[in-house]
Amino acid sequence: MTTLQRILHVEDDESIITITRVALETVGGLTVLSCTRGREAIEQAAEFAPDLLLLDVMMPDMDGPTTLAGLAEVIDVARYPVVFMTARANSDDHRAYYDLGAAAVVVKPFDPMTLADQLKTIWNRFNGSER
Amino acid sequence: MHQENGDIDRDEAERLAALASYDILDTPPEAEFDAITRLASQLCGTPIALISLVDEMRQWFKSQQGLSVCQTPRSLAFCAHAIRQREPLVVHDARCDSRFADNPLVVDSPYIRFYAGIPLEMESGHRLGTLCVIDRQPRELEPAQLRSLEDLARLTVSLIEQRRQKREARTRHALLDSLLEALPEGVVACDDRGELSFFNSRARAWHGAGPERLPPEQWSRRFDLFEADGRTPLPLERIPLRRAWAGETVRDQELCIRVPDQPPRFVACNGRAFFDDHGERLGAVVGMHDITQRKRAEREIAETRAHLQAVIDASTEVAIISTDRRGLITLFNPGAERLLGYTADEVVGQLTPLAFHRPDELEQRAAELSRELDRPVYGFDLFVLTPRLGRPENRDWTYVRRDGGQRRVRLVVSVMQDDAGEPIGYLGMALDLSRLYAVEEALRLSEAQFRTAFDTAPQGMALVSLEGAFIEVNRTLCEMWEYEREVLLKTDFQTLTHPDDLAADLTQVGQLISGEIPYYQMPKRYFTRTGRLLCCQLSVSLVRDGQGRPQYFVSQIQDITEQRQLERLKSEFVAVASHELRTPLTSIKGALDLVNGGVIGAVPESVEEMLRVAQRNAERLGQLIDDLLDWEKLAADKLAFDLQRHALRPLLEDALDSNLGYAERFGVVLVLQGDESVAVEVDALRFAQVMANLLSNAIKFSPRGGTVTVRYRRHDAGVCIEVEDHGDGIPEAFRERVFQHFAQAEAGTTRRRGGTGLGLAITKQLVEHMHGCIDFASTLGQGSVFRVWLPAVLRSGERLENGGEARR
Repeated sequence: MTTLQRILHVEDDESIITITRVALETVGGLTVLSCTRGREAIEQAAEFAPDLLLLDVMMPDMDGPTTLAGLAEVIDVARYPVVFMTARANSDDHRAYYDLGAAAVVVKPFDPMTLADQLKTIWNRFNGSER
Repeated sequence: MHQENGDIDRDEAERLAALASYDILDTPPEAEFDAITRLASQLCGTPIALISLVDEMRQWFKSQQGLSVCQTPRSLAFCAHAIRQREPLVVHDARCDSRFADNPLVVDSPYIRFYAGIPLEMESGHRLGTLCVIDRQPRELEPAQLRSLEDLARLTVSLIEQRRQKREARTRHALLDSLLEALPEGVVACDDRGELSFFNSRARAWHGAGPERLPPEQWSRRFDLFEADGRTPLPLERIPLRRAWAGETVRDQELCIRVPDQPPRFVACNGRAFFDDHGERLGAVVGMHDITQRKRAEREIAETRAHLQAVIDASTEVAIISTDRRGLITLFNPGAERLLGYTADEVVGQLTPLAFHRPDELEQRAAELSRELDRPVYGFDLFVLTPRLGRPENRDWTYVRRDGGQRRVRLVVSVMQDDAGEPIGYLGMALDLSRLYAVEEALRLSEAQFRTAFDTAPQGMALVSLEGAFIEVNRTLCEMWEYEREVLLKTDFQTLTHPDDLAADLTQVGQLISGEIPYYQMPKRYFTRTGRLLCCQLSVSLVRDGQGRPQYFVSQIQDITEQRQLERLKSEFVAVASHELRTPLTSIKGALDLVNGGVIGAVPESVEEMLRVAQRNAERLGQLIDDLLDWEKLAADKLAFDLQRHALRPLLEDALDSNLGYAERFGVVLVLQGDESVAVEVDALRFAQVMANLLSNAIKFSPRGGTVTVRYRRHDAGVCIEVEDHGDGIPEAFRERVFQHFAQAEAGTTRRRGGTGLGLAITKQLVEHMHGCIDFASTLGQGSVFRVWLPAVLRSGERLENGGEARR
């Protein structure tokens, strides 16, 4: 695999799912599986075979870190860059996410026109293929 | 011959003066003299006998027998011839003597024929006149008759001499009497037997008695004599007159005369015995000089002196220095010793006050005085000339202590004068102004302030002993802990402290006492009297005495239970609100970005403009949320800083890169200038935030086509980063509030430029958290420069490229 193609996106807010889908598919030409619940993502992850996990942090029922732990049960998360998306701008929080194994943190509100490029850069860096 | 005449004239003048000195001319007849002339007349058998005194123009008869006139002209006088020689002049028949033949007294009445005159030669050798016998018949005188006549002449001389001595004695006596009576002294005397013989009027007045005949044993009692102490009766052997009579010379013996109903009179006595020419004691005399006034004055002076000395010695807060007329110090009190650090022994008789003054102040005063008096004034006169001219001298000086330390003093100088008004010395009194005002006023103020602050403080306050007992507590603390003051004062802080917080508190108490820390603050939990747990903020400082020994603690205790809860709530609210606001904002902004990015397809131009308005405001809303979050965290001190060493230039390059898009939108060029290898210790993220804020402001306020320059340079121990724009500048009235939160210039600008009003307030706090500071300079119509000063960390071996570089 030489480029980023498939993204598993977990986000409870429908509006953001829509924006993110347009940003990644229409602007970035990527394939996105959008899940509104962590459990839903865990169920479909293995079958979808993502290249990158994009997880919202604050969600009802199961938050981002819990979802990541759940995903680790069904797929080898260490093979994929994990990107947390959060509305919290606190750098202390961000450090905690990195400690959980995050490759990057995207702060909301994000720029939908550059989100795909941002994720591609993260993916490339994660796979050591960045220039 | 002339010489001879001159001698004669002089001798005659002396003779006339001698005659006058006997004071006998023109006096009434006296029996003794008449007896002599009668005897002479009988002895010689002549009808006429005279005692004639030859005056300048006449002869005057002190006594005459057989003649009725009392004087005749000198030119006719036989006696005038007789006194020219020591020997008797005998003329047997005047008609046959050429000297007298045509004398009217010969040719006419009384028809003198015979004359025999014996000159009356006095002890002084002057011949004043004669004892003479005269007859109208020529005749001879028997030798025995002549000798008898000579004897009578000697008797006459003796009588005249005695007469004069008596008169002189009377004069002396009268003089002595009036002198003794007029004397301001009392005089007493006794005779050779020791009997009281004389009291002058003063002595009579002082003793209330005269010289009564009394046994000496009774004198003391009769004349009220006491020793100088005024109480002890004077014993016989101490009575001055007895001592003088016994042969002692009495000198200034002081005693007291205490007559009933009169104030005591103190006298000084001098006396001695007096003797006749043969050394026989005639008596003794004592003079008494009244010294009551002097004694009183002496006592008053002694009392005043003792009082003054006590005042001077006790005046440790006032330096009192006296000098003689030339300025040499004569007195230096303990206050002066304390103020100046010299001992009295080191300065009295050794130094003048000039030694304590600063040369520059002396020169300045010399110049002033010299100008004022129009003559050179220097040295000690600088202090005393003004008071000597009768003007007050009250001036502030700087005293230089023995150890070189300086004290500001107010010096008052006065002249000490004798009774005649002549200066005999000077007195200076100096007050230590620094001590007086600074220390006492500060102490008074601080005590008053502390007491007021303590009583009315809205937080709990306590004075706590080193052992932990409460010395004093204020009302707020009693209310907070639900204790009566008296009960609380019997408690110690250990009892009230939550067990888990005690160790930490005691550790810091130890550090405070040892001086490791000047004070401490800690959150601490206390139990109230009813068992409620209170979260408090404790601030403790230690009061030490002048020697630095710990005295007691001043504790301030603030109940922060409620504050804690509020803070937690607020923090949670901000976190939730920020998330809940960002989520819909993400959608709105994302949707707008996508539409405006043309992802959805073309939209009509009129709609596009509206969509851009919406997009800009969505961005602004996002910034507002970020700022609010940052501000809340800074205020709660919850923003973590990861300070690391970074080369400055890459950080600035990143900052410029990040803001390029924003600059392009405003058509502004960004320029970076700096040519030094500089590193700084900052949190890179926060530094980026600082630069973003400054750059976005500069860009926002620049005219289209303008330039924003970021410039950095080393400055002393730090680095200065400047962000300069060429906009309108900051209005004067707004400059003071630039760094205040929610501060923005006038509404028009706000609307045009946008912003939350938190950016610069946050920027300032971020810079300060990174140990820097920020300021600005601004000129209306020309632009502003914001300057961030950061401590520099030099990275050796690293050079940054020179010059500026434009980025678009």
